[in-house]
Amino acid sequence: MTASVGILAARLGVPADPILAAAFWTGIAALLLTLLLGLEIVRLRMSLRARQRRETRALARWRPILNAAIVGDRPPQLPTLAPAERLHFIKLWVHLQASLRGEASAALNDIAGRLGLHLEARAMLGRRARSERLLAALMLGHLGDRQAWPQLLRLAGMDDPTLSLTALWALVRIDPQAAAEYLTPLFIEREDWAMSHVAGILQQAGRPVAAVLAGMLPRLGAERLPRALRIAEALRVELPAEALASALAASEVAVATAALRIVNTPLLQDAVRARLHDEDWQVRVQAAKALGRIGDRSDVERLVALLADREWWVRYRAAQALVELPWLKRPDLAALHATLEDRYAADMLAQVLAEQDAANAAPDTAPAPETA
Amino acid sequence: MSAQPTVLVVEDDVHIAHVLTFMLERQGYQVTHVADGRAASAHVAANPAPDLVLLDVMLPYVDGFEIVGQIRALDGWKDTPVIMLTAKNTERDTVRALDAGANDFIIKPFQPQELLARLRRFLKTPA
Repeated sequence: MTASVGILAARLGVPADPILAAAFWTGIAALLLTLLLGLEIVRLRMSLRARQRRETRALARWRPILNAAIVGDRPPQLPTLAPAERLHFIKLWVHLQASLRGEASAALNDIAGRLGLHLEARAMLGRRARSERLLAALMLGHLGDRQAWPQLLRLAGMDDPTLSLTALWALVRIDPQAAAEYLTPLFIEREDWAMSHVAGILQQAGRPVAAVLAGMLPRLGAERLPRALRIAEALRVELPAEALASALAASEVAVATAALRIVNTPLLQDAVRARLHDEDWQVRVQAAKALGRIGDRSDVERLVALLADREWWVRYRAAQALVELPWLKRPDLAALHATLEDRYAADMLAQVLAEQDAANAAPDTAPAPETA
Repeated sequence: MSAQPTVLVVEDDVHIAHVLTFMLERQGYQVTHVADGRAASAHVAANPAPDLVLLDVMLPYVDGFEIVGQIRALDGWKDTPVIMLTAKNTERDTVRALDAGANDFIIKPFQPQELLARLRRFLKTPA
């Protein structure tokens, strides 16, 4: 054996010196690896091109059928969806569903139902490929497939946030009422889920979520209440006055400010007025803003008093609240400005009036982001 | 207006562009599609105005607000009706679209029949 290796080495011209021989074999190994890598790149490119060709063929076959369905032409018969076409079809279908609504969306559901894709999507939920599970969850959500509920619930409990949030979205699409009861406590609990995602998912279940939140608020502790109120704010749902009243009176700043941000009924004017002189300036800021939404004529005097607050943001929000009061017209505000004896109050009202003028002069200028 | 009204569709989403083109051609409109803001800008500068422009807000390179500004600043184009496609939950975009000079807007996700009805307000024939 040793002799035959020696003969091979001699034929290949391997140097006799061990160090040079090691360098020779290292070079040969590197060459082989480079060749293998090159072959793998060629294989991947060929595979990609083949996939693109399959996708092009699938789209060329199915796009006209889906387009016709979207505009109201229900095809009497559908061709068979080949296994190689399924993923490409589902991707296109999901994309169109995300961009269309109403009758067009129903027509797409009709096509998918006739092709038996609800069964395919349920099977895809159980597969290992993450992209297939995501597509399946999206498809089942658009289809409103009630039978997929237990599978989606399991997917929603997974650690992968994209998979779980997509599954939660599908649950809301399938049954907003049942999803609101399941998801609202979960979303209050999971502080790590971004509010924009939570709001996006719950958007379709606004009314059931409001009902669940109203029932939960009296039982929630101060550590969970702000998150619950922020969900209500993000969804723009109105909570019953009695459910908000105790949060408005809370001693915790986070609870009181979250409640003040969403209060939108004159029934709670007194509860808001009670926070105008709170020790915490953030509470005073939100109380001033809230009074701008729900206050009456008697609140002008209260807001004018806040124009002299020691905190800049309170003065600024009080001035904005005054300017936004529907019954105070520009001449009224000018007259009010003339009566202000406090220099800081007069300056602040003048600034907000100037901002309003600038905004009216350049209506497409985006307003500055709110920080308080 | 010619016998076959012309519509310029500016939409970067290839699937939605196909749907829009299919819908409009089926209604008898002659459709020209451009897929990004830069191409739209060049098209506006180099071609006569169509009967209507259907313009997406979010476009690569140059956004829809800027395109509508260019349309309104150009003789021959400035009176062309422009309908903008804006995303849901972006009321600010809708206001900006109208302020920039758009005649109307459609919110995505959209209903094809609603879109066609809005178009018909500006194009009397042939649909």
